[in-house]
Amino acid sequence: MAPVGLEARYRRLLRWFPADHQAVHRDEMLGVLMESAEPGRSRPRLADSVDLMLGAARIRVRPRQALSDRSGWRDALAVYSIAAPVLVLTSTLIGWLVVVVWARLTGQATFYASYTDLAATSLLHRASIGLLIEGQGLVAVLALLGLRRWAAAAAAIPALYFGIAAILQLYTPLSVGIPISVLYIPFTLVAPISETVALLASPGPRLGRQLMRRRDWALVAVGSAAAALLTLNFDAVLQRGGWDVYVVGVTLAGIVAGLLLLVLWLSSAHGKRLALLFAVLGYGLLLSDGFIDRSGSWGADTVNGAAGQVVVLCLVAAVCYRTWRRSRSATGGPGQGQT
Amino acid sequence: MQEPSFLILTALAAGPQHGYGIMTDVAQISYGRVKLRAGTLYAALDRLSADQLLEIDHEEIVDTRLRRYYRLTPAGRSRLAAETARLRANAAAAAKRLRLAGN
Repeated sequence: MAPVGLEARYRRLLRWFPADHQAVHRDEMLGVLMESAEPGRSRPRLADSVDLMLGAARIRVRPRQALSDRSGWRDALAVYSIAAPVLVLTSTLIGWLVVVVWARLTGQATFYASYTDLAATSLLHRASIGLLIEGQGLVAVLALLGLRRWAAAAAAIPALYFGIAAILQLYTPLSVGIPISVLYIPFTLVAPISETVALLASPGPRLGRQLMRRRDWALVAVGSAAAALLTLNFDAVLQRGGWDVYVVGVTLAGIVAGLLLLVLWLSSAHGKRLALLFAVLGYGLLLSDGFIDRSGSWGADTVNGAAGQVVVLCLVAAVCYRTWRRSRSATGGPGQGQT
Repeated sequence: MQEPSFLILTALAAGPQHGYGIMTDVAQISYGRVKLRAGTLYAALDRLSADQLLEIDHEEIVDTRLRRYYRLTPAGRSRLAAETARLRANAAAAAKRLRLAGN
C-alpha cells in the first residue's frame, strides 16, 4: 500500500471536485490514484495534480441539465427578480457611501459627481437621481415583500422615463432636460428594463426568495461591492485622465470578485443561467460609458464598451453552443454530443 | 467524438471494467499513445454517463478500496458502432486518395 502521506495529498486534490461528484466518486478515484502510483511515492506527480484540477474544472463548468430547460429559466428569472434590485440598490448605496466618506476624510471634492453635486444642480437632476436610487429601493422592498406586480410597475416607471429620455437626448435634437450624467450611471437603463422583464416573465420574487440560499445572498453582497468599486473606477479613469495604482488595484479587485462569482456559479445549470442574467446587468455596468459619449472620451468608452460586449457575447455563445450540443446529444443524431 | 471517449467506449465494448482497468486498457488499445490520468478519465466517465452511453455495472471492495465497474449501455454500443463505421469510412477514403496519388 502506498504511504498515507500520498493518500492525504490526493484527498486534498479531490476536494477540487464538486461536492456531489466527490460523494459518488471520491473513494473510487482515490483507489485508482493509489493503484497507479509507483511504490514509495509520497507526493502526487505534478502532471497528475494538474490533471485532477483540470478534470474538476471540466466537471464544474459542465451543465448537469440542459440550459434550455424552460422551468429552469423561470426559476433563474425568479431569483433575478429579487436579487437584481437588491444588488443594484446596495451597490449604489455602497458607491454613495464611499464617496461621502472619502469627502469627509480628505476634504476633497470627489470624482463621482453624479451623487455629490445634488445641491448645485437642477430640480430635474435631483429628481432623476432620486427616481433612480429610490426607485430601485422601492423595487427591492416590493420584491422582498413578494409583491410581483407592484415591483414590476415600480421598475417599469424608471425604465420608461430613462429610456425615453436617453433616446430623445441621444438620438434627436430634443432634450428633456435630464443631465447626461444621470444617464451615465451604470444600471440606469439596463437594471429597470431587465428587472421589469424578470418580474413579468417569472413566477416572481416570492419563489426567488425561496430559491435563494445563504451562499447566493453572499454572492449578491460580493457582486454589489465589486459593482460599486468598478463604477467608481470608471469615473476615476475619466476624472484622473488615465490609469494609476488606485485604478489598477480596484480593477484587479473587481476582476477577482467577478471570477469568484463565476467559479461558484458555473458549477450548475441553475448557476449558469443566473450568471448569464447577471452578465446582462454587468453589461450595463461595463457599457455604461459606452452607451453615451461621456465628455467626449471615446478611448475609454470604446474600451469599456468593447469589454462589455466581449463578456456578454462570449457567455451567450457558450450557452448557445452547449445547448445545441446537449440537444443534439439528447436526440441521438449522428456525430452528436461532445463525447 | 473525442479520441479519449472513443477509447473508453472501446475498452468497455468487451465487458465491464473498473477505472484503473479502463486506464490500462486504453493505453494498450492505443499502443501506449494515449495515457489517461484519473482527472481526465473521471471527467470523461461523468460526461459519458450523463449522455447515457455507459452506466455502473457493479461495485466491489478490493484491499479496502472501492472498485466501481462500468459497462456500455445499448445507446453507448450503437454510438461506438456508428463512430467506428465513420472512422472506417474516413480511413478508407484517405487510403483511396493516397493510392490515387501514387503514395
